[in-house]
Amino acid sequence: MMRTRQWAIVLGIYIVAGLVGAVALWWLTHALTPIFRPLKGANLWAAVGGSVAFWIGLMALLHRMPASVKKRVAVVVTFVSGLFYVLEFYLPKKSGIFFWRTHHTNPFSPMLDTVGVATLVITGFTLLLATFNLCLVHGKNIAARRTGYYNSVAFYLAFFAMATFGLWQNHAPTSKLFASKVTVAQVYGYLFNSTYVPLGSTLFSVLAFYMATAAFRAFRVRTAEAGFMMVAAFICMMGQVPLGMWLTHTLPLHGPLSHLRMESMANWVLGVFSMAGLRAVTFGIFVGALAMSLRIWLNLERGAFFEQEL
Amino acid sequence: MKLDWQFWSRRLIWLALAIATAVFLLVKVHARMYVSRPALDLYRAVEAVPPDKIIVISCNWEMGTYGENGPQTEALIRQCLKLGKRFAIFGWTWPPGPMLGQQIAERLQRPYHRRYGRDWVNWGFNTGGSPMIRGWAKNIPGTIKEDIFHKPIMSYPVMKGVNTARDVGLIIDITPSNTLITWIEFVYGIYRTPIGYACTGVMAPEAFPYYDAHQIVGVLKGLAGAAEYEQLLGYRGDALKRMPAQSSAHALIIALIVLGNVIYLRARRRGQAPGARLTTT
Repeated sequence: MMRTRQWAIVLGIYIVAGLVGAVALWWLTHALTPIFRPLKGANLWAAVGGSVAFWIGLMALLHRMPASVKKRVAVVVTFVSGLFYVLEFYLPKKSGIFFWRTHHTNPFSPMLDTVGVATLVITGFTLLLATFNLCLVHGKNIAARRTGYYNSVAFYLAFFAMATFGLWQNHAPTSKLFASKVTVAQVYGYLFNSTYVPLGSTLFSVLAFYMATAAFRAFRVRTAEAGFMMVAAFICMMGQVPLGMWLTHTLPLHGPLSHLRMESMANWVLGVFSMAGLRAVTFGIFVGALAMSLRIWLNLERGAFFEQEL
Repeated sequence: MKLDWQFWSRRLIWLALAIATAVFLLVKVHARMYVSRPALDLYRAVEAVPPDKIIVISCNWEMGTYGENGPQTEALIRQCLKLGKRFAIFGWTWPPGPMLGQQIAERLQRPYHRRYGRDWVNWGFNTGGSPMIRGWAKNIPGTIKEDIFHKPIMSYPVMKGVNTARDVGLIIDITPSNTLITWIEFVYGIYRTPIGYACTGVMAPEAFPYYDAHQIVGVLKGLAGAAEYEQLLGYRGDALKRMPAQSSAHALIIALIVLGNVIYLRARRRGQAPGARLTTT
């Protein structure tokens, strides 16, 4: 009885908060929409300077706040942000409930672009934060001369080379490098195609070698299930390559015997057994994701990052 | 001196795999693929895009999966250029994707007498994930704004009449990541824009439930899918050239699994089964 009452109170708080949040959100996004219009010249720099000053001030203020206040701010921001997308997505495009609108349209839909731009800005901040963090970690490695610090030196060299030529070629791609005939875009192209591309490919291709040793050392047919898995793996691996197709190429392309062709069997395994299993797994994942999203949105989640009660 | 079998077996396997793939990359072997239904459906979906609509080639991949996604992108761009279908390169998960797509399109456009801006455009990379895609579907010029050369996208003739996801005839997501669900949820689900999927081999099984439900029009499964597409287009590209190497690598891995089990069974019969050990380094 007590628990039911508690849940009713929590639900009531969320309904009231949702209504207040919806009105506040609608007002806020309407008020902020002019900020996201393109600016030029002095207005642009004034806006950039003002934004930087405002955010530094806000961050400094938050920094001085006690942990409980910071958490409350995070909870409110998460709830209001999630609320916007819920209201925009679930409320109808046109309805009589929007009686104050000229065409009775969903008042949140026109703000989708503005909120999208805000999301882009926040993502930009997170990228900057990640870069700063990476530089800090590697900087500490070099300063303390930790084991393998030369890897951190390599990081700095690669980071600054790519960043310098990337930004330079973005700004002036045809400018010449130190009075030579080589353009900045060519240098960047060389760094990208001859360093970045092969390094990335090499890193991924190393997986194939580990997979081969793992297949030899770990794949043991101890049970009937493992036996089925091995048969399925054989059919799928062979059904995707010309060698496997060649093994059954004497069978006709049409008719009942065509189902015994390697590629037909591989497609059957993928399209029947594998698909049924994946449907079940995907369904489970998304039900879990829905529950998890609701828990985070409504601040019910506990555990890593959420362990302390407010 | 006792031979460290654990140490040397790993090195021998790596060497065998390197030789098995390298030999078939160097020696020219004519590989023939049987085109699967999902690849054929994607091919037909590209053909069926009306001239008043644009195709979006979503290059959500980077160098790590160049071996599979590179030939897929090349085959799809080649088909668009060949048929005169206007297309836009776009990326939102891996920053180098649109640049790699640009290199492929620039290389291929000349024989077909196509030109940047008139027949195709590159929208570049956009951050923001799913919320950005929602905004994009509703207002393409408002979300993308500029191409990779910092010019307004609507200043190009290829962008004529392209404003929302309804003006897109087909979106082909080329990716090793699980980005397909975002396209299905926020674009196909709302605007019914057809979605095609070209993924790495390991991601292919995940696409089949959506393909079976007709939420995506076709699937290219890794390098094999790209090879099937090359066969449909009637040219021998990187994918068909690499298929013999992939065949030998697959055969070697199957042989290793069998060999590993034979050793295991013999050891068990002698009463000294070592059990599976997952240490592979």
